[in-house]
Amino acid sequence: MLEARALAGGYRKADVIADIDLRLDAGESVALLGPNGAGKSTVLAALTATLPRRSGAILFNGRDVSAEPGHKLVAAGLALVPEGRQIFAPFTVRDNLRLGAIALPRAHRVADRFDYVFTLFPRLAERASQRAGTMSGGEQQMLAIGRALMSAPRLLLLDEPFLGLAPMIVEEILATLARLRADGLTTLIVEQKLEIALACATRAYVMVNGRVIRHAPCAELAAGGDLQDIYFSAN
Amino acid sequence: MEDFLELLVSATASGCVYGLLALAYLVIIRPTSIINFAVGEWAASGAFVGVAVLSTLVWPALEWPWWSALLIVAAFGALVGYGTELLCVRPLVARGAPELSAILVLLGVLVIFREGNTLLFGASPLPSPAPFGFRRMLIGPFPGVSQQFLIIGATFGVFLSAWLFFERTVWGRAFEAVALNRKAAALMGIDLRMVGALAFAAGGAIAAVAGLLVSPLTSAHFLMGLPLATQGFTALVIGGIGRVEGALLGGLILAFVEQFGARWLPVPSGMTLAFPFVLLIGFLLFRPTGLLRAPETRV
Repeated sequence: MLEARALAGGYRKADVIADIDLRLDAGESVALLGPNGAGKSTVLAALTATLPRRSGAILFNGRDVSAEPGHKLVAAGLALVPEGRQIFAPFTVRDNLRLGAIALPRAHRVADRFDYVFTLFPRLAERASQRAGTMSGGEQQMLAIGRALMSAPRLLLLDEPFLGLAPMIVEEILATLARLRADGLTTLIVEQKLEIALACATRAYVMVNGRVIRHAPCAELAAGGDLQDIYFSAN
Repeated sequence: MEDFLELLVSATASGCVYGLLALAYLVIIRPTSIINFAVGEWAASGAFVGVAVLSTLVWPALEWPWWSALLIVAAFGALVGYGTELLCVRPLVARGAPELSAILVLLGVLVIFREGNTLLFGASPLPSPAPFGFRRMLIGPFPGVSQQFLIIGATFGVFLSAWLFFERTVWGRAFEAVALNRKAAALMGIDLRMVGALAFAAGGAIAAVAGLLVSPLTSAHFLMGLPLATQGFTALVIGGIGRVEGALLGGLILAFVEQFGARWLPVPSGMTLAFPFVLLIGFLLFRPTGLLRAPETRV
């Protein structure tokens, strides 16, 4: 589904990430673990072509997309739920979702996507006419995920979607992610906590200081002791 | 009373022209954060192109109907805006330059257009034909010149279309999304470069049409751009850059203060030229967000 080779890049002159090799097969769910500032979000920015400067090769569905602009990647089936949700606060829930479908390929119908997202998150259907910014943090996160799903992605990237959410909401969103996986969606989730990675991914890449230092099944990482030790042992 | 109503029509017509210029600024600022002072000169160019199409003053034997001139001028303005974005703004944005660089480059574009207008069309004013002539007429109790009513009607049409576009269409919402959060908009699959180019094209078209509309009253001349640019900008500051209807409101307030102030305030007539600047400074100091605020952007 997705393969990145020797991915490197950054925002200004210095590289934030270097020598990143990632591989996701169709239907897989993979976690990208690492402490604050490890460069996890930068990897996602490189994958979605929103990083100002990058090098390396990216293959998506067997096609080299290294030079594709970001908006074409969305149409090709790659969607990102960004860190901090980044919903359009003054817009209604419905308008937010509609914008998510702006790059929807012709084969799909916008109404079908609305149905899918509203079934997944009934609360968004109840609040369709409400301004997005007036909703709770958990609901906004649901909206951010729903908005990304509107483009009918084949690969969903999620950047710390559980940050600052109440445990109950975390459970709810984990359940939704499980359902998406059951529907065949491939997911790559950026996380700091191993427990959450265990709950929603089978394999994990561990990043420290802009590089991938380990790559193992989540269970193996959990058996190997505290992730904090891995984070620090790399330095 | 008659006097008041006549002044009301005249002030509304002027306010509409300012409002159109403010709208030209606004459609560019919203998605790109770039203030394009060249819109005034683009309005002048629009007036000249209109004169060229409509009369034999510039070009022989091109006496086409006024409505075709309107379309040609709008297309010309869109092309100018699009080309300017492509040649002068996009290279800067691609290199990550701050908005200020683009604003300064566009001041250069302003000079190029002013001098270009002078070279191509000469320094003396050219009369611009009005589609309904210069008849005085009465609509209800309101007396005015036919061109003034045309300006008011056309402006209403332009603002209604702009409002419907931004509020009721997906692409209008996409423009707003870019204004709110560029990164998130890009993640939706919105092509930011295309939005920028279209914003400049729309701004160019609106400015050129405003120039064509006002030219029968002022005639087309090479000095008409600067006052339009400053009055449009003042209208924008008064109304705020958050909403389309703010541009029209700002234009109307500015024109009413100018014309009613000149008529009734005990101020020497030359001093009335300072009114827009007094308003501009006052708003920038005390209400920099303008009268109509943007919808809350905080998450």
